[in-house]
Amino acid sequence: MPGINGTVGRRRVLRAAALLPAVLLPAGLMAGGARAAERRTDGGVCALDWTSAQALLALGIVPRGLPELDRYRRAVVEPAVPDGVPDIGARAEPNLELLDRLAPARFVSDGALSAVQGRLERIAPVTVHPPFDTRSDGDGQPGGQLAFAVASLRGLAAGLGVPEAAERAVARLDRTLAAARDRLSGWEPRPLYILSVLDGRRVLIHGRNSLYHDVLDRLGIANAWTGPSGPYGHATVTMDRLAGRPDAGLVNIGSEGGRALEALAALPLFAGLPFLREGRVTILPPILFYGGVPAAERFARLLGEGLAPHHG
Amino acid sequence: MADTAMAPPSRRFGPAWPVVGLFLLAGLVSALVLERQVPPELWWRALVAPDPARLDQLAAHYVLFPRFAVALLVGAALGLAGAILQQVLRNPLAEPATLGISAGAHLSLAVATLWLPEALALGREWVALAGAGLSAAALLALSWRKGLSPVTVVLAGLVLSLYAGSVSGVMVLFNHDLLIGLFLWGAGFLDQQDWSMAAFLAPRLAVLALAAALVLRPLVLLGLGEGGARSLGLSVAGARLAGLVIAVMLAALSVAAVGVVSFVGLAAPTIVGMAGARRLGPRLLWATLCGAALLWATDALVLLAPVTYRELPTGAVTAVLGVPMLLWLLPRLRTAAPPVTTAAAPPPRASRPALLLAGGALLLPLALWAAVAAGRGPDGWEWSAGDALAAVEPWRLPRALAALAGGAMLAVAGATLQRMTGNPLAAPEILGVSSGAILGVIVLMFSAETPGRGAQILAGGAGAAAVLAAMMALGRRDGFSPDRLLLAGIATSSISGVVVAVLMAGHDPRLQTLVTWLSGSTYMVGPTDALAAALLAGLAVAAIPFVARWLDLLPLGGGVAAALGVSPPLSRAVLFSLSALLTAAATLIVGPLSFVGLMGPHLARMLGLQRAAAHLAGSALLGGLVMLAADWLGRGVIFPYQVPAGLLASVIGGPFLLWLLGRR
Repeated sequence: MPGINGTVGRRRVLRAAALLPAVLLPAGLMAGGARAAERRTDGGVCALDWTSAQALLALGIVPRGLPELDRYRRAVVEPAVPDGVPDIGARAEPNLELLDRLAPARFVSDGALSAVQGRLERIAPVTVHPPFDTRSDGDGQPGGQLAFAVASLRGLAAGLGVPEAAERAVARLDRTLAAARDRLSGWEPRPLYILSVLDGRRVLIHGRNSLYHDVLDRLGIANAWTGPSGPYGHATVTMDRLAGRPDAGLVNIGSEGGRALEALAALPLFAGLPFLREGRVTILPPILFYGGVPAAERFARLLGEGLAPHHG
Repeated sequence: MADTAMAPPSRRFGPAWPVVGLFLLAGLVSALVLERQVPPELWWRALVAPDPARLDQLAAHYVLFPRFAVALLVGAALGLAGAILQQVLRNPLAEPATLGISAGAHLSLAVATLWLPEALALGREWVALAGAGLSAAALLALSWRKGLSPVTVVLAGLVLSLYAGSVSGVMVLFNHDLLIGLFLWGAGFLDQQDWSMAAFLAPRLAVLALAAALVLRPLVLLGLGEGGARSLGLSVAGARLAGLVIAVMLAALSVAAVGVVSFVGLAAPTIVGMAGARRLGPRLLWATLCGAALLWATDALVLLAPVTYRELPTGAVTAVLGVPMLLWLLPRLRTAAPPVTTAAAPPPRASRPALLLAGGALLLPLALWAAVAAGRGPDGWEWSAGDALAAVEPWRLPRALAALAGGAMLAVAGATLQRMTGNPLAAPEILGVSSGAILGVIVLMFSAETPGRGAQILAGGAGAAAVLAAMMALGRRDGFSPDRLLLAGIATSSISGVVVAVLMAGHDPRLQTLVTWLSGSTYMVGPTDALAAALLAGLAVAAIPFVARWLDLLPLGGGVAAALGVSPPLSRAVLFSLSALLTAAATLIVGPLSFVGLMGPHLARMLGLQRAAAHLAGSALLGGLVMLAADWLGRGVIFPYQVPAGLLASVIGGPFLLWLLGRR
């Protein structure tokens, strides 16, 4: 019992404390820094996030691994991931230990993992591929995001030594845009709100500096939302803010939106919103709103099919 | 607030003046908001019978007026609930959130969203009510054996709240897309699109207010203290139970309606108390009115704000406005005695604490080795040795070491705070220092393109230091009175929660990283961080013998400590800085894991480590081991995904702690 005068306990605790650093500093902790140089690689390019995976697949490269594979298949969908590609864990925390075992020749990242870049570099060099220009805050030029995405994809392809793959992907995008324009030739043009219903009152709406805006622009359709939008081109607003353009139609991204919109239409306030009253609502499957060229392509195709379903 | 005497009230006006003032402000601002929508001569028409062809009148009728009504109703409910809770728990810090109601409601909504969508079809308020009711029932069950003693209720409520918060955290982490709407709800948005919410709230609140009036007399007697009330023939537990049930239902209703709105429940009773509402009856009445006026005024101000800020959740804004108010209130709160000191009978002392500690210290290296050697790879669980161990060690050892060190630091900080303040609820997070670190990192994330690890640590350190300096300046004025520091710390802590809620509402992809860090992940930790953390933890443990005497003497009271040669202000300043530094370091490395700071010290006490030196050393050991185990499990359990160590420690440790609390 140390409590008799306190000193016995104190001395013992001190001694234990002095031991602690010795216990806690195994020699191997700092070792391993030089291993990257001598390691063999199994080759392959590993995507550290969804947009990088999309870009690789669009360039015809099957990634050595990508994060949150199941959710990619549900929320991003395209380009499709072949079977047998390993899941490397959460997007925020791809499993470093697993990445080390996969031993890719290169990583592609959107830059979000900069805090662990140093340790990733010990496994393989990291190529940063930003698909979205987050600095074009609200005043983005028309074509800004799409042009940025195309340039970024070209840069990535050049870095990987497959520049012609980027040209093929861009040509495919142009063909898809042309097909969508063609398909929409019979559709009576009107401005569109592009949004996702979030929680029954609020929507995530895409504005001027969004990727969708540029695709609409290429299709000759006006974006009905001219209000502010954040660095990723979107804003969270309540539904009643969408009363400004009585002639507009509504495009909801994400299959969940149908039920939510029905619930909204039942409320007296929103029943008056022209696009709900007159049923000018289109529901599209999920698309990654900052996903670069492949996402733009998917949006253009799905929008054409959604707005002009009986074409041809 | 039975234990807190207020500064002399201004007798001429009493509690009416702040309430009337707030109502005037709210009415004026609301008029300005309305006037932008509909000209004044049409207000009545828009309220009663709007022209269905006029969108502006429809918007006033279905958006603005119901919003004012809901703000008034929710504010009243929170004000009344806060006043009742403060009386029942005899704790000036009690407010609806203390009981874990909002966290329970939030959790039940998350569960229903993921696994029981058909329950949501019944109405989300019912699902939230069920969750709130369940957590309240758990709270009562846990504290029943103690006759619902204030300390036990608040402690159990805090643990429940942390626990429900952690479980929702895990679910949001892995289902972010599905649950984003839930985040929006949880942030305390007041906007309406018809009168259904107001119609839902009004009759229920009326019934509960009536019930509160009926139990007024027993509640008054509770204010006399346990002995006094019992000698007057009052069933103390019964009266408390009645008060608690009413307050819990009030809080559950408001949470179900609009999500988490903080501070109104704390601020309203405090304001009217300071303005001179001494007796319970008037205090309940004025607190109800004050809460209504407070929330209405805040919400109207949000509506008046420029368009970008108009989308901010009002619940977040009340928290931001509440902080300066609370800081202004603090020096005016005259505290008669520390609020929550009557701890239950301590568990028996360990007969050989030194032996216990030595055994624990021997266990550390073994545990560390096991945490590195055992793990899960692509082919399942495996034990690595030799070359295989060398291959996994650079990835596993820094994280294991950092978890161990982070847990130890938080536990030492927690034990120090709990002993220093005599408050068993004092967790490092309550200092507000971890919030400062969080805010520093958030500011960096949104101002730098690709911040590196070093910049993050610097930014976090700067934020922590800023909060620390503010707290020191505040504390020096009154000789570091424990409960005022706690209040200020709680106020500061709430800001970071608000910022995160607002960012969540903005749906920014960069948040994914932030969310994992906030949930206590050791993922970002590299070898340098780990060594620094281990060194700091070692220094903290080495410092224990030098502060143990202070910690043994301070709880005896300032007078006794001074008589024995300890200067209370100096020793408090040193101890406070030490715990703040440890908290900041641990937060930067393993996230704000308040649970370990609470769990380590309590476990150590339950093992019978009573004297300060043994208690602190034991807390360090146990806190470190808990975090080490959580990190190890989190790395393997859903490989290649990883559960953050902090979250896992709460999820696994929470029920254990609750069980111990109930058994005590």
